[in-house]
Amino acid sequence: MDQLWEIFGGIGIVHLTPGHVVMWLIAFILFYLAIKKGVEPLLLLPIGFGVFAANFPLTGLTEEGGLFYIFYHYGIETELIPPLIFLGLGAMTDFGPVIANPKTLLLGAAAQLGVYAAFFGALLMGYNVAQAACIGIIGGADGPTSIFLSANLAPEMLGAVSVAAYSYMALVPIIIPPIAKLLTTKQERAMVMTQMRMVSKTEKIIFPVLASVIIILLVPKSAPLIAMFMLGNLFMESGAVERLTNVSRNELMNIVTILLGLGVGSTMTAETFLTWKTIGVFVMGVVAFAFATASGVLIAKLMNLFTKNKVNPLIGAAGVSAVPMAARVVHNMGAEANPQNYLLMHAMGPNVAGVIGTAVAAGAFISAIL
Amino acid sequence: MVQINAPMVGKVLSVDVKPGDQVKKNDVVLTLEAMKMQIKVYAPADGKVVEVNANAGDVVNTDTVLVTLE
Repeated sequence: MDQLWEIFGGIGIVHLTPGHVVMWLIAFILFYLAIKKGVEPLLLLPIGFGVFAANFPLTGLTEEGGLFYIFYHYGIETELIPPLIFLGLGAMTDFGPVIANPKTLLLGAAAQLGVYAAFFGALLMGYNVAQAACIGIIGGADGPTSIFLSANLAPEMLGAVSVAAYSYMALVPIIIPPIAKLLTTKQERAMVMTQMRMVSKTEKIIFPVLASVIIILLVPKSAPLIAMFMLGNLFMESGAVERLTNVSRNELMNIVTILLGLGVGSTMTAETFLTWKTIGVFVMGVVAFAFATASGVLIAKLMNLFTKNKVNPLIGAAGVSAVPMAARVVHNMGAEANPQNYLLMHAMGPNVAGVIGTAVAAGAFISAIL
Repeated sequence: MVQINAPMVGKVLSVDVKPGDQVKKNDVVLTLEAMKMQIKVYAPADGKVVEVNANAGDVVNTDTVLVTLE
């Protein structure tokens, strides 16, 4: 018997467990969503394959020194990759709408109330403070920030939190409209906003520097994300370093996305993923998202009570980051109520402000909890 | 005279009217692409197209008059 085991013990199939097979099925669902449904394929495909490959017995891929361990340990645990992705995002983000209408910064911040609502909800459900923070951040609808925070506070939740964040982001066109409709009248949705003023190149160059000063001084722990985001933006807006701008938002971003996806996927092994807590993450993630949308819309309505230059309350819903999909959804809702209503650029204000807001919320959690 | 400006910075994908056409309010006059999204620009009022200042492929700004109606 011992001799037989010696001969066959090194073959993977002998060690295969039902848990492995269930994880393969989850990986296949992610493949399906990415390939057939076009749900965030750039991320869900590598994450899915990471899940698939990490759930074979005896590979050593996720053990210390293994390939996926290296991706995870040096890329994610050391918090290297999410800020690099933020560099690329910064090099794609136009802050013009925020500069033209700084009020929209408030709407981006308002949507973060959803993060805190879900945080308290998760605490009530029995998650510890660190885990609850990671669940709450899903409401910010920002993948790299969710990964950054989980790697910091609750690495055991990383896989579930990031898959939930990316899945719900893809569901923005389904989640936002019913909530935003419920909280607004057709007349409010039809409201046309005044044309935005043109923003000068100088303003666009000053913005990332000034925003870094203010945000990093207020929430120092948001620095890794904010500094890289603003650097990428300065690359783009300066117009002086086209090569660096392009490499940040194309090649570098694509390369680190592969490493990020595999690293995240490899954390989802049967032992860590197949638990009730994971299901809770998905349930509370939707709650976080719904609250974020609702608080954005409601604060926009509140703001209108006190200001002369009113905003269409729909743009508050774009405060959940998910750039630029949330802004597109808001635009379509506005155009549905009134074809003469072009909300896209107005919605981009809260939309990009939401990215900053979520990074700040993550920084605030880290400094409060660690 | 009604001037239709570009509602946002974007690239003209197609011009859907030509001088001499009669348009009604909320008819599509032009399609723009911005933020990888197609945005239809609608006529703000009934009228006759007298001038078209944009061609497919042009990058337009909010101060660009795309189409003039009378």
